[in-house]
Amino acid sequence: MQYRIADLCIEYDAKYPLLQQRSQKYAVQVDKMALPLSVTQADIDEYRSQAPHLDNGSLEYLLMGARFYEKLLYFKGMLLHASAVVVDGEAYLFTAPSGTGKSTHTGLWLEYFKDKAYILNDDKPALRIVQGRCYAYGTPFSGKFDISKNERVPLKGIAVVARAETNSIERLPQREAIFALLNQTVRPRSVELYTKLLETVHVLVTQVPIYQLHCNISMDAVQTSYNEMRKGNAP
Amino acid sequence: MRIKDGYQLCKVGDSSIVLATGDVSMQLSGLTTLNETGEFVWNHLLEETTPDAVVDAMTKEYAIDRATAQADVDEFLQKLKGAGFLA
Repeated sequence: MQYRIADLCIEYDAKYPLLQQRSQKYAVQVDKMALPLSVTQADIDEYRSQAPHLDNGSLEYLLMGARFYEKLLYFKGMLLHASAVVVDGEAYLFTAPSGTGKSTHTGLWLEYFKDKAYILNDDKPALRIVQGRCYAYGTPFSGKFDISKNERVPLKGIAVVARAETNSIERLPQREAIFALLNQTVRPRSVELYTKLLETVHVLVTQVPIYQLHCNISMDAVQTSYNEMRKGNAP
Repeated sequence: MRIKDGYQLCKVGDSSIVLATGDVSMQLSGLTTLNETGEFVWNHLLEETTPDAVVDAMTKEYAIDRATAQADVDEFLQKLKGAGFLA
């Protein structure tokens, strides 16, 4: 089956229902040139030793995601562990280690903006540079609850989330922004791919504002992040 | 004295990140970043050279006195040595 994910034509066979279901909204008519990805039963069996609590379907899903995000590195893209919320046609990303509260924060955005906001990808949006501009995409690989939309949205800003008693947000200096991005993606083992990742990170940190957000769970937290991030790169 | 083989710089934003082309495990544990002057000194160390030659180059390139350049270069060379980059 062929899919269009992050503006790439991809081809793979989903053997198990989980990947089949999650991939459905990304399916496309047969295209001539598609990038093939493959996960064999042998791959799944080998991976099981690292994650013995997972079934075949989950293992295939995770492995195919890994294959996809590795391929993405060749096309000026990367994954970011983040929750991406869209308001007024622009994507706001909130990144942090698991359990910090990224989805909680974007969930508050949904409450605050109601119909005017939606989640683009709740776990691993694909970021990609297309014709010099930075975009965020939904992908089939969006975490436990399959919250994603098959869309491309201009990337407005990325905030690193930390829990705090009071709400505040500030721009991160470039060097810290670089490390924030590298810490929330998968760092490849080969130098060739690592260099490609750094080329993408280079464009991102020079074009997209990256912030440190300290927040609690409240509507004020939403106003704090939104009011600053909506400015984008305006002086 | 020069930078060992197997390292290359990768420009990211205003900084340069040191990548190990041979032993990738270095990348996965920690990364060294260089600012503009660090990059300048690094590039001078790509060929066999001496601390004095580097200090000469620095005073020509940047409007600073020799004593400051000497101190900065010495400090930076210590860091490079400590990180294992110098042959």
